[in-house]
Amino acid sequence: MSWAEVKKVNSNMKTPLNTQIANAMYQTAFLITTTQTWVVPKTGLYKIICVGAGGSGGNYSTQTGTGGAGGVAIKNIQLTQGDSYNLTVGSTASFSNICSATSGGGNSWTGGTGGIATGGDTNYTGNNGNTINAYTTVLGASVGCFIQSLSNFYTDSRIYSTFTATMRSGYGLLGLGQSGGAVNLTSNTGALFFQTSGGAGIIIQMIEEG
Amino acid sequence: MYALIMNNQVVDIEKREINLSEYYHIDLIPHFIECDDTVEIGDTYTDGVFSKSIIQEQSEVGL
Repeated sequence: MSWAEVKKVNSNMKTPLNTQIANAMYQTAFLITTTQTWVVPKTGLYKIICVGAGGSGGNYSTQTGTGGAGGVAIKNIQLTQGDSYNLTVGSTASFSNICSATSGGGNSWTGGTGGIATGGDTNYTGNNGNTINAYTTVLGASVGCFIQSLSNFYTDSRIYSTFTATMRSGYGLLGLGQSGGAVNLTSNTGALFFQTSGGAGIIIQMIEEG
Repeated sequence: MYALIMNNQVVDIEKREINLSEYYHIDLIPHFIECDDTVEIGDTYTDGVFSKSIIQEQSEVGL
């Protein structure tokens, strides 16, 4: 079908075709951030992504290192409409007994150990945290996804401000495993700090119906 | 109640009375250790004994 034909079809539709496709894609993707029983809405091939939480970040008073990143398990699997699965989202993210990803470690002098992932077609181990030095007013944070690393962020205490909004404890899709404990210095002498870690979660997306 | 142990550290607590093998991948099951309700995430587990993290205790004092 040519673009002109698509435009013609769209003009005759109450909801344009591309919008319908976008809506359909949205409806077949699920972001799971709580423990629950999940029922497969439609038979099809699904991509499951389990993301473990980030470990607790370091803080000023203890000089602990940054938290380890959560593991990430990615698996494509055929699911049948009406079947139910036990999903667990705590520090660990687990899609039934099919695939699981653990959180990174925290409360470590030298940085937490990265979480592990099992059962996926691809399993990513989270990055380890790093040692920090509190007395340079450079504080640690954790990160809960293999995509990001905070290894360079604490080399400049001014950099944190750019990332505070995105590196704090996560909410929604952006926060899924990507956010970590952030550090928010209020002045050169006083400090507020967050030891929250990036939230765990599961993304379920239908990639082929039937 | 079970603690999930990775690298001698408690990284998660499972409080539900469930069959773990129905909720977690089989590779994780050996990492779950039965524990009491005093155990918390961040505690250490060494030689069969849970203990509070020294860092965690200092953190509480510092805060």
